Amino acid sequence: MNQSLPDYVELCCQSEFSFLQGASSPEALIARAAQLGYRALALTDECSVAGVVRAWREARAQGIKLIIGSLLRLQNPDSSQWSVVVLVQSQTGYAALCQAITVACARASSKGKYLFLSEDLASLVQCLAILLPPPASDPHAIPQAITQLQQYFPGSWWLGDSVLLHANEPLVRQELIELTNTHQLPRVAIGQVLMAKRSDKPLQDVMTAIRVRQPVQTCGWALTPNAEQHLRTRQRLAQLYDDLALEQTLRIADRCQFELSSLRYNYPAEIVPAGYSEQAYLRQETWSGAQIRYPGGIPGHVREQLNHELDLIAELGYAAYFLTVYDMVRFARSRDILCQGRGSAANSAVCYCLGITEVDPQHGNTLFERFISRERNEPPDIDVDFEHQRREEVIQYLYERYGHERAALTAVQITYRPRSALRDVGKALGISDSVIDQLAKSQAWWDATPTWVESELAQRTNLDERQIKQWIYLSRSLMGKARHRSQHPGGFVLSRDPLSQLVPIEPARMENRRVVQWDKDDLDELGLLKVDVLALGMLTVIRRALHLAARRLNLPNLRLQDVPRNDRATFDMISQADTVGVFQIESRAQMNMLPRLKPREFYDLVIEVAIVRPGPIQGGMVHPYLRRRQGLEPVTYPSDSVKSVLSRTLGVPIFQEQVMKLAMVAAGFSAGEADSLRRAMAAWRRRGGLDKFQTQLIDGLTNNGYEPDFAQAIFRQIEGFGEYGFPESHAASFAWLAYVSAWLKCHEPEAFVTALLNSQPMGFYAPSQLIQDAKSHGVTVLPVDVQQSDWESGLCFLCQSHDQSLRPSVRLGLNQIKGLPHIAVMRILAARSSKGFISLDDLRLRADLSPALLTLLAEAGALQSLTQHRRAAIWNAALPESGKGLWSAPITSEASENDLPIASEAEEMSLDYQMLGYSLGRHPVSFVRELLFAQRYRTACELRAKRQGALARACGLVILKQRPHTAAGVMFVTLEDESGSVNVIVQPGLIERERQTLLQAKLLGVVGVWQTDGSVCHLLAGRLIDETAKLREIA
Amino acid sequence: MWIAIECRSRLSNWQESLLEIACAITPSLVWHDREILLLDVTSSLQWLGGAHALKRRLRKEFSQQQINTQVAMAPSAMGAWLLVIGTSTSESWRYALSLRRLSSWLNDLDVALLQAAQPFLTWLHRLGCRRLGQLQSLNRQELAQRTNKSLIDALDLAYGKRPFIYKPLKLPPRFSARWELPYLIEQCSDLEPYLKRSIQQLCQWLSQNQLAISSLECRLHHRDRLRARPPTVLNLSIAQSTGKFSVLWRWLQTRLEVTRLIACVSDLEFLSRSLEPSRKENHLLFSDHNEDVQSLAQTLDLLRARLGCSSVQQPKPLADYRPERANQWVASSPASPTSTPLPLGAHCPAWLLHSPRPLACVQDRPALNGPLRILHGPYRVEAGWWDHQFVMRDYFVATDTSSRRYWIYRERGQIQSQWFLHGLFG
Repeated sequence: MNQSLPDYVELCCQSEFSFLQGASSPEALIARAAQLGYRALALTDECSVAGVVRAWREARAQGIKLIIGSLLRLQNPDSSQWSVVVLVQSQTGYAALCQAITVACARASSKGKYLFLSEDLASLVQCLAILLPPPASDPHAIPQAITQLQQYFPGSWWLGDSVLLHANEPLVRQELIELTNTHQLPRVAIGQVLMAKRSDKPLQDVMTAIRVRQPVQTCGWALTPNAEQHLRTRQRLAQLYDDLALEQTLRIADRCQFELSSLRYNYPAEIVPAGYSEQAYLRQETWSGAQIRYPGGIPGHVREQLNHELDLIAELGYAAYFLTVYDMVRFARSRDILCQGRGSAANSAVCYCLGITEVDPQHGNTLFERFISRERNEPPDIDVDFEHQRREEVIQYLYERYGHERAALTAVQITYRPRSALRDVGKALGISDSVIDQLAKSQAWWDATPTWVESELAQRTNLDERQIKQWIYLSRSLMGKARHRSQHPGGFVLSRDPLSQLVPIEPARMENRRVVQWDKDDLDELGLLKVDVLALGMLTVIRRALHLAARRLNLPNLRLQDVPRNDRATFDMISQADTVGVFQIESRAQMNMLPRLKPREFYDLVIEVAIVRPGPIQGGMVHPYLRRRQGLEPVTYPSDSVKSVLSRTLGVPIFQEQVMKLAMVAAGFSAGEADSLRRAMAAWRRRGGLDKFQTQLIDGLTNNGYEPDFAQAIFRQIEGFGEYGFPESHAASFAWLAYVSAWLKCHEPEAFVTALLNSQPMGFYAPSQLIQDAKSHGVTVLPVDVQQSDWESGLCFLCQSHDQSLRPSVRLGLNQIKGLPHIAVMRILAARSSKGFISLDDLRLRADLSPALLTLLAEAGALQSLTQHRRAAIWNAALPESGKGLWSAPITSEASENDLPIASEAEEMSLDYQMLGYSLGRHPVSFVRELLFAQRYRTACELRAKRQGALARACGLVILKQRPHTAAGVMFVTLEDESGSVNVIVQPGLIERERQTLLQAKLLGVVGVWQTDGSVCHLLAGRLIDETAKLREIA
Repeated sequence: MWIAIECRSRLSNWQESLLEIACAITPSLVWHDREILLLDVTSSLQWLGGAHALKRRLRKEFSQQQINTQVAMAPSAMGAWLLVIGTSTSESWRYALSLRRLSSWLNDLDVALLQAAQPFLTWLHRLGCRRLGQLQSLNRQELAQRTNKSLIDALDLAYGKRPFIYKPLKLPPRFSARWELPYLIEQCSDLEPYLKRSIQQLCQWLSQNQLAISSLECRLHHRDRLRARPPTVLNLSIAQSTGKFSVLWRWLQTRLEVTRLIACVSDLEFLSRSLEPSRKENHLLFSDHNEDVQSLAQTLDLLRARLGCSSVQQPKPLADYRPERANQWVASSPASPTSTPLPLGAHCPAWLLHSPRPLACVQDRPALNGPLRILHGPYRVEAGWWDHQFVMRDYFVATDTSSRRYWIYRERGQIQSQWFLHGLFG
């Protein structure tokens, strides 16, 4: 039967990467085409090749040929439109297409649009063209299009013939056939495919409705009349087309011989000085780095390791990659920008010697195959974190060094999320805005996966059941579809030749940034060099804090290396979970773990950082590890080879490498296979594909005599690692930063909080909590004052002698005032440098401040030292400028006849919160304490004395809400009052019932049961009460 | 003295009813912010018998018209306005007959009520200034320096320190007349001479005011000794406004012919509903196309008057692939129809059956008085999933032995495909 069917190649097929046109993913299209027995499929997204890598990956798996092309819409001078599909024949053709798309995108007026001119067709060498028939082209544009194509594609273009069963089709086709006869043109069957299956039509209609911004009911002729634009069976095609048109598709496919795998990518060349080869230069720099790292001589096994790594790098040709990263890091060092490498390839001795990472291979158990494998020719991956406030300097350096032609950012394909899908589908179905709003808002940030319950929707809205079913079904189908393309925050693609020959580049929304059309996975797949220039706020904090601490200690400078290791006081502080502001271990989950794990040395911190992660939590590794550490359970190993891998972590696999090594020693995986496993681990949630390893691993383990339970447990953990398991090097890098920041918090709390305030926004906590925490540690925090404060917060030493026993106080900076421009502050500081201000008028005149700026200062309380009280300052600040000339009349005296009453403490507090976001005065809750007391709410401090299981009532400001998806739907809420904070646990059932309260309450009352095990206390919520109105009353 | 009235229950014609009541009290009235009607009663208060008498009168009229209002009386217009805005719903009247009383009340009101204070509201709150009294107590000159003149002016207006300058409302022209008949009339035909006279008066009024009418309400009031009856209402709306007696009379006559009186008529009342300035056209030497349009419009008017609006239909194509949806007819109205462009080259007959008619099947071919021969097709329609009237059809143009052309379709998606006749080509 199959033999008698004609062969077919679909030459025009748009995926979801033609945003809001195609309804199916490239993978789905390829899989369907393969299933239908198509000879090949051309993926032709509109002015884009964004989906080709995915399609290519799938095509390889399915064993079907992929043709790369693009659909382009052109405009005639008489503004009639016509569309052409361009297919690439060879690598030259592919480069020409990428270049043409880049040019068309750059020409467009706004992001996401393009302007392709008919002259551009001339540049498309070694490409084939197919003119699309109506409705893709205007019928009267066709004669002109034919002239253009005859000129630019002599002998290599076709007239597309589509049978889509539209109303006017017989007429149109008749005319086309006449045209082919008169011009002697070849005609080819073309499906203009928009979806993989017929059943995708409703989704495609909804996408159209979203695109034209109208409900689908009123879209009218913008929709397609039927679902024929899907991948049709060959049997059906044989009925619709004549043999000649079908056969032409094969001819075209035969002429397109380009394979994505033949793309040749070259690493940038300028990183190597003249006269050196890349490998020789890397070798030289590595060894000279090693001399510096090990001044007492390079240890034998490190030497061995270096040799092994350098050989592998040489064999695989990755020297240029390491040198590129090295070059970037060297630049940062020269500018005194703190940076630290991580990511899979950072686990190497070479990286340590080149100064990219700080993890000494001497102590580590490095596994070089983890990032480079002979079997999979994929580039290594090194991410480098830079200080977040100075990352831009590094980015500018890259642009300068490689030029905009050869450096561009990685793309991120933004897909539909539950809330956006619900909104857009709702609009497309013509559901009223208020209902959509109501529902989308109730879809809270914590709902990672949609929990749409039909009955609940029906209750809330007055929609009928069928409408709701449609809404939910379509929202679910739309979820995960591409919505638009955005830029990766720091992923750079660099190359030796212009990048636009490899992949089209589009302008990004940010000025002067350009983005390639492929995302991270696509680049990985094709082996393009990608360097992640990431921003890490904590590096900024550490550099600033070290600088301030050096001043206090009267040292010329304090470096990361100078921080004493294994400091007892620091570990004591960490063990008490007193870690607000400390890197990584400040989250609620980490703080709960710290008193149980009680870290006493650096390696404990490495484990702490790695264990409170979704991977180990979901793999069920946390409790076994804790029990073994507390001595409640014996440390056992199923075999000696396993012991060699797991002895550091008491027999419980915690790090990614351990899982890989386990697969190697216990299940007989090769190094390359283990690496494939790692990659699959990282991507299975997005793509799946872990099943094939499951059988291999479990069979391998059981064959080697391990218990099936053990094998299953290992596999569960591998699945868990899909969600951000940490490799050991990564954990070690982070633990080092965590330790340094904890040391600073412990010994230099003033410098630490100052640095944190100056590096905002970052971390879990807002300035308000950081200041509260610092105050509770005895740090004096002084308010913003125009006479004393600088732009940033700073330390204020009481006497010039820098006596170390006298602690400095923290003076808040003028940058804390929201909306105060930097330039105005610079004027204030310049004026103040000669002489302090004597009055408000003096400040106004000398710093040239407008009434609006003065009012800002007055409202924030920064003029306290110049006026009687804040309200008087606000009144006087608002006086307008009375001409700036020398001879202008003197401004009326400040002493006002109005006796403005002094603001109450509560009003001051309220104003502080409005202007600064926090108050140095009394805690807001203390103002309503009496009211709360009457309702039997107790303070955090009083609650701590409660026994396990007691009924308790707490009320405080909501400072943190977290709902990690490892916690089975439980939400953690932290309440803060004047005496401390209370940790509240909210069960999923209660979350659903009290959704609105949880979303809206600023001051939250909780009635529940007190839970404590001595070190860690929680309040298990039974009832939630929104008490925000009480706060409003006092303000 | 000023009165401010805010209407709290807004029926469809609340503004008209309110104006009707207000016009009888004073001609000096003006709509102010938030749709509050301000009445200057300084000159008419004496004539109306003082404030209390006025209050009684207004209360009575409001209750008659079933309007729920909030009223304030004060020596200044803006004072009265603020009192209305700032009063809670529980009390519906507020008096401040002296300036002292007014200011003591205003002092307690929220600063935010003053429109001019809006730009400075946050600033004022931060100064601790939340009531109008607190604002009033600040030094005027210094306040003026820090804010702007309009805030000071607004304060002065409210406290009656400045006169309120306004442009009195100019009411739109309106024809409203009622005639008592000399005796009770039982037959429509007997009404004709009186109606004729009334229309003549209307036309006279129209030509005096250079107006033309396009919508008119004629009420025939009844008198019945046994029970009260609502008047019979004859509504006229015509496509082109006119002031011509002949046109209006012909229309009224037509309506009268189809009207049956339910009781004796005692009074006639004419109310203009929509007036336009009359257009005087130059007469041409030769008649032009315009007249045809006019005569078509007149014919349609006449048809509508005779048969009722719903009996005259016009096509209103809708952009939808389902022919029965696309092919819509609506009641004809004088307003010109909006057209929806059809998709390129779509060919479906204008004449669709009310509901598709199932066709018999003879040897797998559709048949209608013998087997049908298919000429074109298929045209495939798969649409309408969104309103749960999903259709999956293949349309064909078919012909029978007598060469008549039919539009038929085959229902898809069923085990046994069924043929239907959906339309006929002309």
